[in-house]
Amino acid sequence: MGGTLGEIFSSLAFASAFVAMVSFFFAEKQEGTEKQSWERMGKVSFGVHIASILGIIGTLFALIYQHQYQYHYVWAHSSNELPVYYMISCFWEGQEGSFLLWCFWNAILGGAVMWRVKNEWRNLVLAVIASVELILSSMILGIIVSDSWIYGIYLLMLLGPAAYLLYQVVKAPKIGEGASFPLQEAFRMASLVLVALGLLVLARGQDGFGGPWSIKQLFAGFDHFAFGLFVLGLWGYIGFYLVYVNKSANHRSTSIGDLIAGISIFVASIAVAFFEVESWKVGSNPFVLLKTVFPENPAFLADPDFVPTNGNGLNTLLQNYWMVIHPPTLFLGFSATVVPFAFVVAGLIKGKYSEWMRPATSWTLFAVMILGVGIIMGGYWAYETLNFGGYWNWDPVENGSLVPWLCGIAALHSMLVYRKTKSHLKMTMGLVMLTFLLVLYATFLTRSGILGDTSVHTFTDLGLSGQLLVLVLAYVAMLVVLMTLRWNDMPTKPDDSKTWSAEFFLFMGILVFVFSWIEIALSTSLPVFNKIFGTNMAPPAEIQLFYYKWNVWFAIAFGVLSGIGQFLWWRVAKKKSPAQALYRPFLLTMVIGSLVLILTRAFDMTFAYQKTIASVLDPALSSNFFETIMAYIEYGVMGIADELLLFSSLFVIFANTDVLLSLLKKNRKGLKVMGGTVAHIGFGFMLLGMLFSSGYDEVVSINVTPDQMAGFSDDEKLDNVRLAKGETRIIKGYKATYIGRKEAVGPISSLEVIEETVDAFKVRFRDATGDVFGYLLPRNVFLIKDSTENAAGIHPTSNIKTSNKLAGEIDLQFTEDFLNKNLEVLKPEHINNRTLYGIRFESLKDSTRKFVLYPEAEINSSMNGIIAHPSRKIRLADDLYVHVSQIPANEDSEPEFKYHDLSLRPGDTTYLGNIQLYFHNVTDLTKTQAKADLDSFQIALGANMLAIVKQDSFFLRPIYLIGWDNTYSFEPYNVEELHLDVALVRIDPEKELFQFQARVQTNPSDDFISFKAIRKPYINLLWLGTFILTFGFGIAIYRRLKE
Amino acid sequence: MKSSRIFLLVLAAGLMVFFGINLSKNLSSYSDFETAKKSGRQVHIPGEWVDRDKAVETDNSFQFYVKDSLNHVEMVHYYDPKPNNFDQAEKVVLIGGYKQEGFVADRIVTKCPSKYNETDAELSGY
Repeated sequence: MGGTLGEIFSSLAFASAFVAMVSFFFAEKQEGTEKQSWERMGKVSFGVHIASILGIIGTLFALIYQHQYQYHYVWAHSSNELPVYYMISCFWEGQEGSFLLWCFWNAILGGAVMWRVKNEWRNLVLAVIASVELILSSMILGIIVSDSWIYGIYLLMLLGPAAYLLYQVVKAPKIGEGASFPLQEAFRMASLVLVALGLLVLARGQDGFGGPWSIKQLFAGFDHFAFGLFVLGLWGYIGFYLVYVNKSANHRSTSIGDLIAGISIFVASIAVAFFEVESWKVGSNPFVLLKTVFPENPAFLADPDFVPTNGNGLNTLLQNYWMVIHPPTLFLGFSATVVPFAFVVAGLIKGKYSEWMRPATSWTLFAVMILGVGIIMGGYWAYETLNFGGYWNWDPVENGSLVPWLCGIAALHSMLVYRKTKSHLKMTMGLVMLTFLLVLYATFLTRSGILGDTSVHTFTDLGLSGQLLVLVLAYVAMLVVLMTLRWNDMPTKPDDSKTWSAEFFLFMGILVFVFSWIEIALSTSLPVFNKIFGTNMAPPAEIQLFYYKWNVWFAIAFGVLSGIGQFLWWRVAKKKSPAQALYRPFLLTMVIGSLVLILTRAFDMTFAYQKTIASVLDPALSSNFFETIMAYIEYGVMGIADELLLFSSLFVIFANTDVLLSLLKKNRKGLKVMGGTVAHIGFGFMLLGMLFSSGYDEVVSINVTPDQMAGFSDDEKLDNVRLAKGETRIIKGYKATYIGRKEAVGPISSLEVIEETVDAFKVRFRDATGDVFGYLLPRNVFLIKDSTENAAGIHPTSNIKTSNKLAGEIDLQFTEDFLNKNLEVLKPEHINNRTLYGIRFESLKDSTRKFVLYPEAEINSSMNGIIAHPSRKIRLADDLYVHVSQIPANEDSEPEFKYHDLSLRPGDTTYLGNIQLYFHNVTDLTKTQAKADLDSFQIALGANMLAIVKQDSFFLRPIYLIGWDNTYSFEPYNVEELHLDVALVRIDPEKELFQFQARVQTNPSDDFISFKAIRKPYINLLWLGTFILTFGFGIAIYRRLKE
Repeated sequence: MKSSRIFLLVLAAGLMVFFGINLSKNLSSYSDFETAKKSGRQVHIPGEWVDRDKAVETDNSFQFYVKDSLNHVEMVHYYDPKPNNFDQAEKVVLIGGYKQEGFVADRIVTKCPSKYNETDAELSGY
């Protein structure tokens, strides 16, 4: 039922987006009452669209919240264990949900445009946004399951506009020149709805329609023809208006337009009715039923109405607070790029080639700012939950978001150049449009499955790749057609700026960013080239180094250009020459930079890429003279790149701070215009943070026992340290001790039942430290038998209210008491099969500096592997980043023992495998009363022994007892670390011979871990820089809004 | 056009050409063991994990056998613990090259069967 509601909403969303798009477009082309009529239609449709999108999201969330696992999306992406706040994350695990998120932001932004943007631009901008929204909402249409409901949807969609038209007829304020206005409007609305419905038929495909529509089966084989007709009809309708109405906007032409449009739509609808969709899927429906996806599953074969009791669960990597806010932020950034794009398109259509820039600037700033924040949030999430050891991996998915950002930055600066010089208009328009197109391209890359082997975290292909490709190509075509049509009409002004001018430096800066994104985009697109040209190219093996090698130079260039450019832009010191004005930041840079360099050398910090560079750029590998020379040059040049980046990013910070200070000194207005300067300072800090944290990071977990890794001599590779429980080992700078797994500590709180079956139920609760645990309990023990009693059959004390509880329900209070009492014995596990391993670190320099980190390992039941989540010690100057790389595999195997019978005299030594056992002497414990219960024995003798393994030694004292009734017994002594038990079983006083029985477990269920620890210096500079950058953007946006 | 602009354009063109050459030089290719051995370069080798019981695993290394596209089986050294999901991998892509001890993989990309497939999906409660 809920799913059907959702499907109705998504059909409505699609149809209303279509009506909105067309209405806003015609509103632009019309005058007077005609215009108002179209505008009203557009606004109402867009309002309906926003409401439907909210409806879809609400419905899907309700289904997830109610654990309605009969729906595939709910089953695939959620589970009973999932807390409410992570249910939001279910939306972005699947493609459908993330398209929905994009739809949502687009709709909200459309609403904001409707509200904020002035009349002149509003209609066209909204038309473009609605067109994007149309395509996005088609991505979640999918194939409908229960076709009887489609008539309901149709009815609704026809009734809606009908009601609206009725309202218009009754309450239309004034009908202008055309008295037939409501009739015309009715015709338009109906025809548009028809087209939308036609598209829906197309989308619903083969299992959509039986009944009256089965006529299309008579025409099977006509599908290509039909599709052609449909497209022709649709484009006829739109194309006519584009060409004809554009030129003459009088009343007569519009009615001819309507006539032609009507015919087109008629043709299109017929075409659609006969259109047989066989292999083309439009969208993927998030409300599809599980049994539709798995029709052959034995569960459904046995019982068609089967509903699973639990879902497949949400990927635990997404169960992180950053994953609740990172995707929405990123998607807001993605979708916000559509607004500047729409402005450019509007400008091109209207022929107002530069006027769009003023209203679009703050939107561009907003899009780039949010996108930047979203990217960094993603990086922070990766740093916190993934174990590749950093925040950026140059994965295609990451690059896909970085490329539009870099392009957006270039576009912003290009707008500045235009404002100052009135030249480079085409470049500006191109960059703004490209920013949006690159977002679409990134979407195509990550969702079409084309990346295949090269990426770890793309979505799986849902059969939407064709549709995605059409989407990208459609907008590229739109850009090309519009630009070509208007090319000669656009004003051009040659750039006559001097070389030593702000404009020139800005232009150079734009080039730097453009080169950077082209480099990244091309390298990321290798799989696409392989597909197109049938080649077999693979990404560079040293992927980090490859991207570093290029982008480090862009970063260096950015630093120099930004430092000088900002100074020239503001002309803070008019009288001074640039050299005079810039000497201060330059000098500071030199001094501080050199100091840092000396310090890094003094502390023996080596730049991480240097080693890789040496191995990859080995000139000896080159085969000819030319290559050798090139390799030497490259080696030399790359060798100083990190030093140059250090100086360059310091220069950005100092030069911009200098400019900032003089701006502030000059007047109060400085406060308002300082956005750009502040943003540059932030970016400088980010570069510094990246340089240090990635370039000078060092593996701290250097293993000192290479003998464990028999056969491997290359010490550099041994980055993981193995620790048994309780074992301490010295690593670089620390003493590390594995203190064991983190267990639940009472008292518990937030107890909830998350799953119930006939005879068992599962609870979830937080322990005293706030960690979430789960436990499965037998049901009948914890049931309330009688409403006046608790589960134990005891009448509750007065302070426990049970009056509102019913017999047959689970007694939570009793369960909580039970768990609290037995927590240590039950050893509940972390929810999601997570385990936390406690490692204590003690600084070698200062033993008072101790801390415990709890890196996690998640045992992935379906994959049989572990997923390690790091834990970090966050400090001002560096982070210590730790993750486990290995945990014991089989814990539940039956213990196996090897027994040794030993006859020893005091002073004897014997060997049990690698354990050296030394028997020192015997102590009479009878009188020492070491243990109170020894009193019940006549004689108690303790054998003092030592077990020695390598450098470790353990004291043992097995005890031999003779009771008052002359019976013998013994208390074995256990050395847990060695899995050794020793018992003194017989004493032969005459021969002074002592008989022992020793037992060694041969398959000890070792509690051990291997871990890797990395020190990341000054990573906080990166986060600090991000804050400053965002703050700078915020100031800039504030200023534009005030203007 | 000003000379500085021409200079810029030339610089841009030069950079792009250099970039192209550099990219093609840096690119590795999807290859096989035989070719990798001859070239001595870093390559991507798609293959299949075979003789699973012969794999040796320690804390800091993992050695296993991979059959490449030409059905050539080679021992692979990997100086990190066994990657997650490796046991489930249908196909692996090795990124690395030949060193003294043999083929050393710097990175391993595993291709696992999708999370659920049509009929085998385990539905809890059934």
